[in-house]
Amino acid sequence: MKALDRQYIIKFLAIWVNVASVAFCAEAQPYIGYAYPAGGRQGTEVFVTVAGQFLRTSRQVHISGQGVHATIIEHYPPIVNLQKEQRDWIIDRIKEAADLRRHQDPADKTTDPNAFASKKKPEKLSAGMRVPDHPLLYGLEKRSLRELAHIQSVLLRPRQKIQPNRQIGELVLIKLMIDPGAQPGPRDLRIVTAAGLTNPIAIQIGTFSESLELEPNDTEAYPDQVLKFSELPKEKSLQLPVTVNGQILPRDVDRFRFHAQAGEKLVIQTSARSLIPYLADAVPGWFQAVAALYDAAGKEIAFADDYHFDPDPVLYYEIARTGDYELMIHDAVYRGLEDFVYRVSIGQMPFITEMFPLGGKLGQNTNASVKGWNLPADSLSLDTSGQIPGIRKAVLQKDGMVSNAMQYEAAASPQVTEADTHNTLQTAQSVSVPSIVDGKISAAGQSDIYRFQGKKGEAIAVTMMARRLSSPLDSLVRVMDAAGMVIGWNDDHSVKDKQFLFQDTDGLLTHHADSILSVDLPCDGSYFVEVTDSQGHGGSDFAYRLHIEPRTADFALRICPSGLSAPPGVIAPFTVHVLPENGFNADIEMHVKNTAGGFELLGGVIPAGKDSIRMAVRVPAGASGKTLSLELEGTAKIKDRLITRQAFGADDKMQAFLYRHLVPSQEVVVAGLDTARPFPHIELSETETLEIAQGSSGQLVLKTPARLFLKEASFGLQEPPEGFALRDITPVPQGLRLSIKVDQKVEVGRVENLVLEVSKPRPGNNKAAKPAGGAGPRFSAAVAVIPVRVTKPSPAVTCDTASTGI
Amino acid sequence: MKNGDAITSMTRRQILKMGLAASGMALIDPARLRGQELPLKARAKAVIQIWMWGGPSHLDTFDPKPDAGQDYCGPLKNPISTNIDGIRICELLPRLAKLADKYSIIRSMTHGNNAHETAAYLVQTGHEPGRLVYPSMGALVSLFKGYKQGYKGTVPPYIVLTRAQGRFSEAGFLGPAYKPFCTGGDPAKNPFAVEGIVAEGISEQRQLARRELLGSLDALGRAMPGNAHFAKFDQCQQEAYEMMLGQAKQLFDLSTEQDSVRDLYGRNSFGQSCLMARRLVERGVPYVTINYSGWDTHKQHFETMRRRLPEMDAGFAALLQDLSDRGLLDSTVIWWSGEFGRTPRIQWESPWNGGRGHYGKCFCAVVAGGGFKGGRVVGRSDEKGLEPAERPVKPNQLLASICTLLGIDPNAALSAGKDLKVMPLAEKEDLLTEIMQPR
Repeated sequence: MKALDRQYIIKFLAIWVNVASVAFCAEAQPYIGYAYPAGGRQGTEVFVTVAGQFLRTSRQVHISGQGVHATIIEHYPPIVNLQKEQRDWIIDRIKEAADLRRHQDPADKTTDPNAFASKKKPEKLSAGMRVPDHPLLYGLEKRSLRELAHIQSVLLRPRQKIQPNRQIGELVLIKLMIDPGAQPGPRDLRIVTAAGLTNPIAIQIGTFSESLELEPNDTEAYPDQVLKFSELPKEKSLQLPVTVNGQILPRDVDRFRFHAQAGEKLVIQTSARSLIPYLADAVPGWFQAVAALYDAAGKEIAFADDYHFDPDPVLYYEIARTGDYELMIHDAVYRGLEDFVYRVSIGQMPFITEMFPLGGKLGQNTNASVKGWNLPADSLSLDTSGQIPGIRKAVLQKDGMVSNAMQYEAAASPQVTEADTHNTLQTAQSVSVPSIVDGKISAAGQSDIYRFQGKKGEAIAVTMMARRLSSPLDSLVRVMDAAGMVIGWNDDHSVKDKQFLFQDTDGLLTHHADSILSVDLPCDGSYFVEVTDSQGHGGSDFAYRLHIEPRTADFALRICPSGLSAPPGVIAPFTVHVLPENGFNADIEMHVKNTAGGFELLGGVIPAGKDSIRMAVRVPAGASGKTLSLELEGTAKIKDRLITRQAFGADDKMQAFLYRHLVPSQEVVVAGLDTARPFPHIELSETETLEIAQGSSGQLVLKTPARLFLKEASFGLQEPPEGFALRDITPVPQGLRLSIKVDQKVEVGRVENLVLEVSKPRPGNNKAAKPAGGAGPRFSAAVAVIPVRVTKPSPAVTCDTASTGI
Repeated sequence: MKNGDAITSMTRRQILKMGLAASGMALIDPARLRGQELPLKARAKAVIQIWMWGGPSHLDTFDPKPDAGQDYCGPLKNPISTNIDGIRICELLPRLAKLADKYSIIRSMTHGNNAHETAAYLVQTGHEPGRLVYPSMGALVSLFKGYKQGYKGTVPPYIVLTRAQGRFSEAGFLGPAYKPFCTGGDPAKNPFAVEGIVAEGISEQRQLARRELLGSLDALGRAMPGNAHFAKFDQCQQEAYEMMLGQAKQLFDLSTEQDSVRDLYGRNSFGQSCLMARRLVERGVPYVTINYSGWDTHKQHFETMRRRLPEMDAGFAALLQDLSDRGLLDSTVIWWSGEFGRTPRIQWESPWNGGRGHYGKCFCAVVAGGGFKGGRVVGRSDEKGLEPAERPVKPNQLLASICTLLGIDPNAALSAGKDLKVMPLAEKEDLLTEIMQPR
């Protein structure tokens, strides 16, 4: 960052003082690691603990969709390791509460769901030592004995089992209010702090009654301190249907007893990875849940550690005898941490195991046949209305219960269903181009072959849609000429950049099993497309949709991050990722779709060939304290047609220290941050692209309004691409002249949007905003987006003399 | 499955044959190398490898970048001068700073891989992963300087202090005869419980009593005196007991060292391992690896640096000085490196909170002794430590240079009749002659 030269004292508006009230700082980005419990039932209120970092100034909660709201109750700082005095205090309080409970309610029947809500100020134990501040320590007198045992287990774990994690150390207690008519399914939850919006974390709205696990619930309990495990009332069996919420800590195994009747067809569905798909610092990079079912004699009767390629296990079991059963859950390699959060639903809910076809033609009624467990019908109507192709979801409902969501495709090309026998070249089924073939690899080792007619020079794209539609098929596709010679083939197709960022439309998939290939036909005649499962598997659920179409360029867009924050009038930068298909290479013009929101888009052109570029939106006036939805679209010209695609929100998530994925979010949200006074309008003197010769510098002026004294302000480029640097800043009458240098190594023709930011130290000593080893807390704000194009250096011009001339 | 996988020309039978040949006898007769003209004089007799397991940050050790800004240097932004003008290293390495005349820093190491296992394989073997598993440097030295070449030490010629790293640092296709002997135990504890040699709580008298009891049960051996197989077995057993009860036990007994020496190295596992390494090379062991783990600092990076760099500084500096004082530095190569460096740009965001990730594009290594010059810097990284700016050095170049100093021809054949060389260099790759003593 460049500091202003002392001899040039620049005076800015008093707004810079007001920046003090805006606690947003590049190094102190608020973060959520998990929410527990990760959801609730329709028509209920749930106290949820959200854990993360830099959440001290939490102000409001934003939840995607309709019918679910939340309010902030309290923030709790991290508890690292308890000192002896603090542990003794906790033990004494639990003992008092247990004694009172035994006296008042020996049967331990009642418990107060609002126990969280009673707040009291932490008292001092001794000079410099406070009682630990944790939501579980409030309202102890209202807790049942089993709850007290749970609190003891959680807070007084043996030291060797405690893994302090700064990124999930702070807690925010929120109250979730779910309308009775709230749509069941996943939602994104975010917290707005004074510093900005957090990342989204998934919660689920369910239809079953809910239960929270209470430790100890395994025979291997933690060492007792106050409440002896044998003295606790026997835990009651769960009443079905139920959704249990739990957390797996190191070496933890959770067990739940429930009563079931003979003949019941139970589905036991665990959500773990679907809540937190990627952990940056764990291998495997997610909570790999394992579930097992035991009968009353302790015999294992069912086991699952995944469901096809989905790491979240699903069990199905038909109860033979009425009685008690026990469900066990743990991590596959017995890891655990507070963010190993799960929800497991047990009941006779509908669960779809196969569907066919896996999609339909846009605008055409499509009913898919379905099979599974506890289904109310054998068909499912697929919504293929509209004109935008893509992947959609459908569910079945039964008695208020909702099935698993099935993904399907709505597409424009004509649909064809596979014929019965077509597994040789001679019996290959003829299809025209374009076609989408709905087929199945019905048995292990089977192959399906299709024939089409082509002309020399035609470019044909063959695209498999199976894994992306939740099919277990791991396709292998070959294209052959009339003689049966393979002219193109593909097994798996994935795109990732040098930094291992997977650039695809499904950031949740780790095995990109769908085949995608493109062939240029060498001559007129017949061609064949063969589909098999590369692992030799098959079955009635191995459905697919095979696209055989003329190669047509297309693209998808992702906005990252999916949550943006800035005060009204200030710009919020983001990255747009372009996911090209079939050789897409055209300029894309971005624009705001929901123009009523008042957003201004800066840097909105993506030149052909770029796979990502920085942009920004200016937060509209009047947005202070609000969260707004942002809808962006991009339009490109492909073969004389204008194609428009929506830009979906995504967040760049790391898996296991190495791979990164663009994980889709439900929406793009912009939070307007509070400020005491409006931010001044700062803009560039020129909106045209700044052309800078390779190895030289270019200059432009940043116009600022009337100025006041400013000290210690630093300017810099926010996350600049390699080879671009802010070289110098000098005051000029209109504001500030910026000199931007382009390195010799940057290729001619390169186009970038550079985000200019300003920062200054924030007064006070806010440790919560200071990462370990980092500089003291600073304000920073993005103020401009500078489009730059690198040009060829003129032979007569030596390095660093180029100037736009102000 | 990748499109168009290349298929090598070797069959599995051929590869198996190589492995069997290596386990039974040398694949090549290194004696063939004697008499070959090597470009530089072979000075070194031994190597001590300090393996910084996990990947140490190059910016926070031997390639500081104080001008790169807070996001790159973090709190360690005041590097210190060394006793060589123009060379600065991290402020947490003051003892090493005074000994810069004894070592050279390579600041432009590169291989581009960010995965622990692959990167460790690249740096330890000098080869890219492929169908064959190549031997690590230690196994190579064990082949060329070990028993079949006249080594008569009481302990194996390739020793690891103290924990094995596993298959990425072992014998590869040479076979188990060239695997390292891992001591286990902790040299900072008393006794240093070396696997199979020193057992805590079991006296020598008890060991001898056990041996006697075992002998009294050997009815079959007594019934067949003179049997060649039993004679061989007895010989192996005798050698093992000699290790346990004889010189090897004394060799690993660090209590015979003066307290002042042990204090100088540092009373911790690493420091005492460095002292143990000195004792081993003194006794003629040709290759010692000190596996120094804990450098994979994705989180709590600067806290770890503040805690561990002083420990590393003390042990490494004491080793250099001690070897030099005893006249052993000229004949002992010391090689310090990890599998890669760490991301120059600090990861302030959650969950790293000021950590550094893996970085194989640019990192550093340090070499000393055995024919390497001191007080030099090879190559240069760019202003932020992101890329080699001058003289990029690949792992095989470094290992080929070490081989040369040991008198092992990098271009010697490693397998009879096959085109496998010890440490081949590609067309534009060369030895690090600028830091190698001339003939």
